[in-house]
Amino acid sequence: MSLLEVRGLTKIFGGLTAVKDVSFDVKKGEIVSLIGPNGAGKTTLFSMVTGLEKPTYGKVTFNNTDITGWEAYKVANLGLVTTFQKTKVFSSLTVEEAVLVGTHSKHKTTTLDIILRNKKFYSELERSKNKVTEILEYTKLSDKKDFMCAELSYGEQRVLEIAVAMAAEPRLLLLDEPVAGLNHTESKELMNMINDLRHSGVTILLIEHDMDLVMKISDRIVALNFGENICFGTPQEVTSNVRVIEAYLGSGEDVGGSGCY
Amino acid sequence: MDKKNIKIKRSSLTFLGWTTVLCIIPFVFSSDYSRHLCINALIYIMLAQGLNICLGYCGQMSLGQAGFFAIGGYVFAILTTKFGFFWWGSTIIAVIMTALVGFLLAVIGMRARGSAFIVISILFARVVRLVALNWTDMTNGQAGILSIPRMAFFGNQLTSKLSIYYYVLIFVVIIQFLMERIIDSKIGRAFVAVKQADSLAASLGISPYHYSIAAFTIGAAVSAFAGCFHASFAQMVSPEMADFNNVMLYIIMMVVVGGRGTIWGPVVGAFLFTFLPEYLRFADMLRMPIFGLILIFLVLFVPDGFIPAFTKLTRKKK
Repeated sequence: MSLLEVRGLTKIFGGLTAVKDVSFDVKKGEIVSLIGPNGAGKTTLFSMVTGLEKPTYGKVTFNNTDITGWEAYKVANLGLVTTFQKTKVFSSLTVEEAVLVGTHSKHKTTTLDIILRNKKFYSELERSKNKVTEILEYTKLSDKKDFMCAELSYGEQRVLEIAVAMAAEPRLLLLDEPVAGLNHTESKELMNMINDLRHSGVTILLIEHDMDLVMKISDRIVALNFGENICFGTPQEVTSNVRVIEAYLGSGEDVGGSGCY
Repeated sequence: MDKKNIKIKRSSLTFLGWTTVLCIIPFVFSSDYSRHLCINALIYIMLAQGLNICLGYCGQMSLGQAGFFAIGGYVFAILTTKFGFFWWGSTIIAVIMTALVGFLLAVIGMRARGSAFIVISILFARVVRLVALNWTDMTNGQAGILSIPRMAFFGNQLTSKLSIYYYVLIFVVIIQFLMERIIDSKIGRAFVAVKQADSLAASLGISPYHYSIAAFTIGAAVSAFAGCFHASFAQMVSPEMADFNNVMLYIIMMVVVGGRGTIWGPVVGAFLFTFLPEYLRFADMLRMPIFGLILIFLVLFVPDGFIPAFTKLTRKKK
């Protein structure tokens, strides 16, 4: 069952066609990776799915709902949550507070509940706070929970971004270069965490350059070059595809080495 | 369960503490003139909170709060004097009308980013002032509207400063109470999230557009409420209510020096900036320069405001 369906997505910025007629789908429970050289249109494609940009042409269907051109917050409320290429955190909140913000869409209280501070208010608050504790434990950020988000190291902030996104209990998680800038150990740890997320029922679509990790973790891969979908299939299919080898991996370079682009 | 109870008790204690202080103040400053100032301070607390919701919590640089103050005051004044409408009815209508204006301004202004929005808000207050000056049929122009009735408590017109103080205090406490409940909730957290990282907030299902408009509209409503109280206490309204130098500047200082994004910061700020100019009266010509110098010192030494500085100090001691 396709959780996400992308059909003919195209984005034209004036004279530049950043994304051209891209189609693929993501099945429930899968991990799909989006690969391609810098400038291939991966992040633009993401932004059309998440609502940051409106597609010039094409259609995006999520969980059988047409979300083409929807605003970002609306898409998120349906269960499609994204992280960003450039790290975004709530700088003046503590780690715990930041993850609590993440629970917003699933926190069911009305304004009346809030003013009355009734039973529902407190039970929802407890539920959300338990979720926060659970996530902090899972991402190993529990002892940093009172630190300001801005005080965390870069690697920790990257994990925090995923923790905050998880608080929204997403059906589909979009990760834009989650391990960018992390060292080898941190990358492996984060990728293991992402792999584990799959087991808790989250479907994942990610942009990544590290081919080693992409090969290990992905069920299927979408390869982009110059805005076009040049191959969509299993890791074996994609890496043995001639067009992919030429365009992305570079002629004569080894498949499977990290940082080969 | 224990942790939650301790937290609830601590915030309730703080609230009670502040409320007690506010109850005692008119006995500390017990001259008739001081009590007059205290009442003004209470009204300014409401005004400052209006700005605080927008700026302190939601990060909206709005410099037009005085415009809402004036609209609220004028609608109240016109309803009570020209139409003889009763006090609370006039207040409710004034607040609703001003909230609507605030809502419209927010919807129009949302399209403008950052500095453009600040300019729009400043211009809005100017327009309000011009309308008040020139729509003489309704507003009496420069002279303003006079003989506005004072508040009444169950039919008895309030005349003593002390009784008026406590009457206004009831509503200040209600506003503080509501603010505290809203800020410490999903809504308050959404405001802060929008202020700090709006695209991140959007990716979590928080609509920056809707929350900004909500914050702005609430701010307008609270400012209008303050305007009604001011009109009733001063028993007059004039175009100066929308004036930047006389009103808006003070509101900004109250919020910023008291502590943006705190519930009790504006309370400290309101009393500080109501009393300080009066205490400086002895300096005559030097009054404004001294005031300016004090302001510079405050910004240098307590840049985040008094309440945040105090919170930091008590946290460090832990």
